Amino acid sequence: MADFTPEESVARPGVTSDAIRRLSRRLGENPQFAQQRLNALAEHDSLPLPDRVRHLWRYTDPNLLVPAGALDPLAPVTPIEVADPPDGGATVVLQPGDSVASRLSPEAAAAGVEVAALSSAAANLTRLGTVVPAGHGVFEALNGASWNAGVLIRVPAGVTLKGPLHVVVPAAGEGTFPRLLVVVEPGAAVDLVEEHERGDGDARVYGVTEVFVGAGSRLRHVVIQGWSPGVRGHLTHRTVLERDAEALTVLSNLGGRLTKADVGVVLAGEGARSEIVGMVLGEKRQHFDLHTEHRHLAGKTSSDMDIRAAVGGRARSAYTGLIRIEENAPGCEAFQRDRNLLLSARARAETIPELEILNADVTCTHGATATPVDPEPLFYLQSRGIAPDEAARLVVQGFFEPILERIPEPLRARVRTAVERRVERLKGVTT
Amino acid sequence: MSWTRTGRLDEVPVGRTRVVEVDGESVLVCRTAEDQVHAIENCCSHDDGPLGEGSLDGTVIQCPRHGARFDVTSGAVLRMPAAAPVESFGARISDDGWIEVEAEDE
Repeated sequence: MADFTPEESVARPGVTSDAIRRLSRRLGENPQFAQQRLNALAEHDSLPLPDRVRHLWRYTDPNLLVPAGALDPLAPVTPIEVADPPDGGATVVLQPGDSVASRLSPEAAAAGVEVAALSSAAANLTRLGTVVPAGHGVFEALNGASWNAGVLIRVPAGVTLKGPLHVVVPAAGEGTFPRLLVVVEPGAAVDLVEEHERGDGDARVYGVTEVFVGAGSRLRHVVIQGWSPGVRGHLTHRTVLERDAEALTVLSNLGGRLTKADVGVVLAGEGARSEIVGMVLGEKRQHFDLHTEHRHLAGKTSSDMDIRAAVGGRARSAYTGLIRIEENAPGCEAFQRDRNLLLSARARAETIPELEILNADVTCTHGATATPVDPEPLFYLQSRGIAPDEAARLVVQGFFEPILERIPEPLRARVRTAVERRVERLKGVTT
Repeated sequence: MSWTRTGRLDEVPVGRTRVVEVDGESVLVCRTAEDQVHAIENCCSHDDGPLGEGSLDGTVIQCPRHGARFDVTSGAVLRMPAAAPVESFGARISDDGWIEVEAEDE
């Protein structure tokens, strides 16, 4: 239970510089990291909470993401066992305290895939915070100061991994600050599954993921947000694609009480291609606010976004999708679609497609729909003896199917399992 | 349903409002008279505007974004552009001077 007014929110709780210094000492990290953290903390303390007039915050009250009290990035957590790695891939569990527990398959180890605690990865200091700097926003600054579960994943040039790199990010304790830095070197191909899960009570998660995909590389990046019901979180993802690089980003926003996600791909090299596909499924009083963006910095780049949200009960979904094509980026193609299915009369969905096109030599389309669930299929299914809840589940599964079909196997099976598990728990979603 | 204490009554002058959080929801508590408090969701049904930044006149709150108005005693919509009511929560004053808001148990 927190009580706030706009005046009080300026001196909002978070972490203290003492806690940051203790964290840095405990991790035994490079002094440059400690300074970077303190700079981020100064940024955090100087930034006001986002104004509700700003379009990315029109539909979510930032006060609901502010920590309820002072957070301790060094709070002890119960360790989670690392599962066997998938065939040809790796399993990584990120736990506060910056302990990275990982198991690499023999193939991944032989290929030289590097999985290391971020605090020990001094050689990559130059990349950290370059695409999501502390100044990106108040919650990114909080992560920049406090990340306590950081991992560097590096896939060497020319390596094609058969299995996925599966990164498990449990929401642990009152505050979790996961930070992922992924570097896919030129000519490599890899699948990355980032799975956010668990969480006690109203745990808070403030996560940042930065991904760099080298020239001619391919990354398929699945993000599954399957938090426990009370968790609130703010996740920011940015992926940079170099020349002829290719990325597929799959978003599954399924769990938690309140989720604010900001996912973007920067097409920095000519010929880069990106697809972002996503699913949002909410019931009861779940609140999802998703922003996706494609920034075309180079010519002859192409992008496609396809997002579907199904909300029932009193759940809310807000979505903004931005395509920005710079003046010096001719010959680009960019598309976006957003479809919303309202399963109940009290569910709400907002959708705002945005285009910022500074170059005339482009092909660009966008479309968005929001519609109540068609009662006829529900009636038909019930007339065949299917219970109302089960009928609603079948309709939701059918609604998401076109998105699932865009995901290549074996990733599709993994995403489908996560979505179906969530769908199975839907109850009374049409009321 | 359960009652959640959201603050002292004497912290909210008559005719003023206060934004509180109840069960993860942003709720607007409105003190309309010496012994009257009401609670509605702090979110306009038109464009999600923060009603707590709007003005309270008697029992009517006006959204700061587009001017929609709601009756804080019931959540009923009184003026366009909003067309749907906002959620209303039970609110009461305890014997020892606290404002309590009714929260839905999930």
